[in-house]
Amino acid sequence: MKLLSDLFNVQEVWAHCDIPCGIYETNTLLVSAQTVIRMVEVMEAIPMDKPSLKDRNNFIRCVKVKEGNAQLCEEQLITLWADFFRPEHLEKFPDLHDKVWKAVKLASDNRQDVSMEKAKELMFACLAVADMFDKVKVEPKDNLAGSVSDNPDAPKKKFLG
Amino acid sequence: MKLFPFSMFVVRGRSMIPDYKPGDYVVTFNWTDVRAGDVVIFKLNGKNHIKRVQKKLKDIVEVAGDNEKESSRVAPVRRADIIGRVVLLY
Repeated sequence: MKLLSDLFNVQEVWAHCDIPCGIYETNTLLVSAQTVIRMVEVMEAIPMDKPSLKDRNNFIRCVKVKEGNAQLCEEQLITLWADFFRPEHLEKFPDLHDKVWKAVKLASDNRQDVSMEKAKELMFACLAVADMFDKVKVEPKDNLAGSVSDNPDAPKKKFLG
Repeated sequence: MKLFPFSMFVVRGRSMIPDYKPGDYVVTFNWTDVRAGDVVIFKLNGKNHIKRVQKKLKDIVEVAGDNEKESSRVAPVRRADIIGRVVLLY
């Protein structure tokens, strides 16, 4: 196999989901962060002293939703960081890496913990990333609601429909 | 028709896990048509991508990643942009 590698000019190929859509947005990120806050609110209101079966059921459901939305926050942040933000954005936002890293860490913390303070910190961290996004996004050609950026490198023609 | 019948690539990214992991090498056969189920490599915006063919239309092929957690979108690719079909993984 080394012989094959030596004979061929081996190129990189990307197994990544960013190809054809080329559309980025922060609505999902912010709604997920808000959901984490809401779930912590609900969980803190559930009585821990002699909880009923219904209380326990609700608590578990809230844990599941909090976990899922905190994970979604993480995924959205990483997608924006890896696919949307470019080297030229670093010149405009020198602390871009730090802000995204901090937000990703907070998303992970919120999965492990039930803390209104950490949930709010996550929200502020996501807002900071969304703010950078809003300052450099490209207005989409179609009328898409919300904070959406079109990919300036996306194919100019629509292939289907 | 493409000049070389075979090309070799190294995989980056996780959207084709578990079959194709980051660091895997693949060889494509470029002198062939593609069918649904084939894993293909295509060029888009100057970058090579690896995905599985979901549906083949006239001049368009719909592709998607195997790893739904990483890549749940089905998207169109022009037939002319496809470099080849993966025939070897190591």
